Amino acid sequence: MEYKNNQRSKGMLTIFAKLLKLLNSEQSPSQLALAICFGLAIGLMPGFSMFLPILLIVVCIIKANLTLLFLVWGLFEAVAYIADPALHQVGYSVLNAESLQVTWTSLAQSNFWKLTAFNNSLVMGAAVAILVLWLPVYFLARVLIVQYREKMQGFFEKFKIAQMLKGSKLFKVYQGLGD
Amino acid sequence: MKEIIRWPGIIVAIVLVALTYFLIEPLLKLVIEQSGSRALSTTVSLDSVQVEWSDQSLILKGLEIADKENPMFNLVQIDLIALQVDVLDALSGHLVSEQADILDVQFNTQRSESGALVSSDKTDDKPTDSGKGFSIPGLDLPDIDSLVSKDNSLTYKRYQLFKKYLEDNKVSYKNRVDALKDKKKIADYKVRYKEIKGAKGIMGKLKAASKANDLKKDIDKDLKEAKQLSKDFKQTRKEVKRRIAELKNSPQEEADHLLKKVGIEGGTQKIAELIFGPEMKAQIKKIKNWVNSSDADKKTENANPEQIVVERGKGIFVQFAQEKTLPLVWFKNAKLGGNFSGLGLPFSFEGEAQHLTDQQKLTQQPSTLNFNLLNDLVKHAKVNAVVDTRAEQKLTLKFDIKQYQLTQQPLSGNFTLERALADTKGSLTSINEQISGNIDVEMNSVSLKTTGDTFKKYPAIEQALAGEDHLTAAIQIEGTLEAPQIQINSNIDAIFNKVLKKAMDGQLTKYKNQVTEKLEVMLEQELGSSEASQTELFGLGKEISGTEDTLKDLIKL
Repeated sequence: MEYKNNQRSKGMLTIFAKLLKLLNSEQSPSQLALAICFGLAIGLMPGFSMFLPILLIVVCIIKANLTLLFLVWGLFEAVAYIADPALHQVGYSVLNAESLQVTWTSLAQSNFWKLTAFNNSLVMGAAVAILVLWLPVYFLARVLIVQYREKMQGFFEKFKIAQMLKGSKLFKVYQGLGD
Repeated sequence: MKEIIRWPGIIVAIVLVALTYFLIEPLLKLVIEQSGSRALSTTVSLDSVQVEWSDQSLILKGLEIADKENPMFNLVQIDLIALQVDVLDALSGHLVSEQADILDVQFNTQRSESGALVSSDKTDDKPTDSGKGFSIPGLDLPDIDSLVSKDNSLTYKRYQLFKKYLEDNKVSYKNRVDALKDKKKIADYKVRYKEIKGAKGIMGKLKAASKANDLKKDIDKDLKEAKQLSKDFKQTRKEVKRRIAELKNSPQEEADHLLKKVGIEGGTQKIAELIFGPEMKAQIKKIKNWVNSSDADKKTENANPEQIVVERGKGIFVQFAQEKTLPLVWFKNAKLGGNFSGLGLPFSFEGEAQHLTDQQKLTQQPSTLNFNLLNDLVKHAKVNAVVDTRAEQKLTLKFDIKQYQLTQQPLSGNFTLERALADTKGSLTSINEQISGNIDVEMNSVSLKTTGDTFKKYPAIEQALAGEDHLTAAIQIEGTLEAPQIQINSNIDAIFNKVLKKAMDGQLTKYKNQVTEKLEVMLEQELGSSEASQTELFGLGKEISGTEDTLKDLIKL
């Protein structure tokens, strides 16, 4: 039992350490912000839509940090589950919007769009959420990463607690990631 | 560019695409088997699916469709189907092809294992995401979306009419009210009133009286119009209420009607829930929502999504009008070949078919089949069949069979058709349960024989039959498929009568001759024996003449 708890806490620490390592790494803030955006998109998009494999292929090609992407993906899977009713409502309203009926009807004639399941309330809701959140999340994440690197990193390292942490389990895990 | 693109990622993407490329065949096989089984409510299996990317064609090998009634047999087995398709169509479960080759078609072949569909609780209970293409084993139910859609929904049409009625009335009443409340007009009335009031002098007063009369007339006219408006409005309100009530009952009525059409009656909602599960329930709710949105109190046009029970992670599919809703299978032109048994003989066939489909209502075309049946015993047999199930179950069958070699066909207890070459031409039409048509049969090089002992002692009959080599029959069919009335006009009876007459005539002639001969002999004998008597008799002549003379003389006296 104790062994299991230790393992679990070590797992959590590993994730946290990975995140810190990424934030402190040499990778450009744009790549990290892009990873967050893609993680958000893949996490929110339901699995039965053709959009998902397309996003995965794009992720393979675009230089976005995959570790961070997977972390954010997992996080937004949970967010998608919680926000499911809201996404459904948004999607349903958009699909039923009078002014967009012509567009949706013309898309419905195409097999490709049918495979994307765009006419599903959840897919549409997720698509709207992704489109709305993409740019703000990208720029916000970018700014926060830059700010963190510029100010917070040095600021944190000055604290005694940071020095203490360096001798802690977390730091060992953190260091271990570099090996 | 270098900063954005992950070059090794391109390799991964290519690997993913390649993987899809290789997986598309098993995926298509799965899609076709599943959608086919679902649509036909029987096991549809395939040996393999091959995609030819170069010419966008699909090759299906070893297609077997199990017989629902007899699961150890295949209703049809097709060794090879090669068709040009849109792969995206195929991935969405629709086999639509401009040109198809369907080869080695066989019917009623034995299966290695039972084709009965295994009913799975999971599949029965679990609603499909799209709400389309589901069925329950044993019940051949149509796709819900084709059953209930905005295009064909009576309720939705009623709702549209109602909406138009509301809009038209709204505009009309607004115009009428505006006309009555016209500020300019009222101002004009006031001015005219003032003028009348301010009239002076006798002439002025007289003119004012006339003007007052005109003004009163105008105002009365408006009053009348206002009263009429109020009356009309009451009527319209009544009509709106009536229409809302009608619309509220419409979904149940329509659902009842639709279910009745697919063979299920009564207790719509309950049956729908029981049989169709949440999907039909959702569809009925969809119709109801159209109606509820028309309620005057509600301004929103669409149903409140909160009212619809949506499974988490599934969402709901909003259906949009399809310019062309595709059927499951649609082979616009197909070359066919295979084997089948007909007229008690195994035939191979080859031919062409147009618009082979499972849903003619969607293709809006009848299916036509033109075959040539091949068998060693037939010179040629052309068959043309037109199946039209758009409005009613209509089948038209035309056939032209030349030189069908018939042998040893019993015609009746006493006669056998030893051999003949039959030409048969006919046309049959079946509409729902009714059947009508005619078949003309002409047999040449006919050889007829007697059977049994009845005519053995009459060799003349055999001889007479040998002289008959042409038989014809005109068959007329009317009535129902269950009990058709068949009328046959054939020369066969005439031939038998003729043959029998001929044979009897021969016998009679012979008999007559014999009788004549016998009579003659008998006569001769009799005449011989009477010769003496004759002489005696003739001897009396003189005496007689003498007597005469005597008598003459007496007279003279």
